[in-house]
Amino acid sequence: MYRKIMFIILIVLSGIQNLYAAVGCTLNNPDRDIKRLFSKATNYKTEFITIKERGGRELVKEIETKLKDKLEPTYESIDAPYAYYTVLKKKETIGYVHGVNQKGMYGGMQLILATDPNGMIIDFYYQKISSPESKKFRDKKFTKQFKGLTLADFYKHDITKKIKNPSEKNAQDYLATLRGIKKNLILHDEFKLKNRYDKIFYAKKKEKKDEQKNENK
Amino acid sequence: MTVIQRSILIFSLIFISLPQGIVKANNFYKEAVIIGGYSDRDQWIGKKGKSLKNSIGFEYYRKFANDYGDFLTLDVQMRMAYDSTEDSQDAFGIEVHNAWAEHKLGLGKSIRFGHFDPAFGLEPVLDTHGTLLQTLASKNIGFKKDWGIAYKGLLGDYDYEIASQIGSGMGIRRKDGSFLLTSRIGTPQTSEFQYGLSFLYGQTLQSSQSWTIPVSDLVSGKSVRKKRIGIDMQRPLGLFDLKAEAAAGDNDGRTVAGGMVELGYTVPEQQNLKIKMQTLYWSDDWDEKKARDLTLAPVIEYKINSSATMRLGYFHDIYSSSDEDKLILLQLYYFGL
Repeated sequence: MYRKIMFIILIVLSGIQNLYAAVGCTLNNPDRDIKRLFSKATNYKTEFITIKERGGRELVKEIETKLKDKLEPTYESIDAPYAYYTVLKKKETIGYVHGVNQKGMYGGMQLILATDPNGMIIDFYYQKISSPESKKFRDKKFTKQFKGLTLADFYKHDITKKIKNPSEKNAQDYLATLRGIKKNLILHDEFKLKNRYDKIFYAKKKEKKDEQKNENK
Repeated sequence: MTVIQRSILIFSLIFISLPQGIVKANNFYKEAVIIGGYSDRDQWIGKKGKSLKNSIGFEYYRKFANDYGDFLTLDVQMRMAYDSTEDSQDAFGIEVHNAWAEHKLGLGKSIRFGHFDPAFGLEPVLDTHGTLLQTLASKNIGFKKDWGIAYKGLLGDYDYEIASQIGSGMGIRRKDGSFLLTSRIGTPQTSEFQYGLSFLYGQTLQSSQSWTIPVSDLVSGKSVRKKRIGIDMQRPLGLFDLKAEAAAGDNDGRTVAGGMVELGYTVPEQQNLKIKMQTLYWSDDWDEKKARDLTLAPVIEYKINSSATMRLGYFHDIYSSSDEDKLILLQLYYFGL
């Protein structure tokens, strides 16, 4: 009897073993966060979106090109459902709240952005950060520097010149935060803003190519 | 083929054939727990505890929305479980873990019906569904989830919840006037430092098994009158995550009390690897030394991939109200879309 049951369990497991999927980054208490971030909000709509359903491997490649880095298979898997909270004032969309998981120096981080309908950052906070310097990272002095930025700023400029590292000891968590926020904005652009910032990315790419050609001449 | 075998086969086939695609605002996760170990007392075993057995199951989570936003959340999480310590006819059962619907009454206000965590201690703010280390809930209340109704709201800088349940745990039944009233007020879950204060009053039943179907026998036909006050906290402590809770009160007039402290550490160079250490103390009669349990439990967790985690735990009883035991457990946990 026991063998038969184990056999069934193994069949079931073999059917699911290829469906590697992570649990994405969801808000622990969306009602409280959205009430705090959007004083005019009346409610919100939750949606779960994966890279797999929106474009699969091709989209992974595109995201990696824009991010200038590879996605990490455990925490950034193609199946990870990203939770999007569309913030409403009655029926009108007044913003979005969306988070990502990001590998930090001492463990996983959860980086949450509140953006307006055009993708401009209204607020940024860590839902989770494991670091002996977490206070410095959570400090408003650091997080408020992101307010007003859009994905265009990450595409056009060296963002490290705009945002100062709160840690004197190392830059790893700081750089991980910048990477995570850029990834968050790229995904937001792909999933909700219909690639509004693509023209900036490709114009910048063309500009760099032209510069290289001129240098070679 | 027996009825149980047939049920398992049908359950497995349904389980495999369920839709794998992800639709807006709902997620269907598949879950499997394979666990085994060696105990000084029972030799080769599956875990005899109430919450972790070899099992397969699923979680279906869905949000319902209209033009004005979300108005209803549904969560169903069940497992078909196998208890190796029982005779084959009694070894299988269906555990209904979450089975609730939550209706929004406004931003920050909701009412919940079904099977869910009582509003007491760390259990409602932690996910211990598939982990080896558990909170104080099973020792303190007697179970982790119960059937009933709850209201959640915001009170200034604090979140609160009050719940009224039937006091039976996994099974759906009321006997000997059983009921459970709980409430918890705490700092928001987004805070770095989280604290909570909880109260409990009720008469609870104790089942011999953790099945919902078939309904298992009661340890006693009489309910136990319980009163409790509890505190809980979660905070980072340097490179460690600290979780702690304590509860005290009485069971039918006998003083009971206990506490749990857990430290977690993620290895920076290999972040798929976590090391945890838990100490759990519970006394069912403060005046009686034989009624106390104290267990030390170091656990190593390794995330194999985004869906599968391997856990190895050692549970060492310093004191036990039954026979003292030393137990090694190895668990493979799968939870994925």
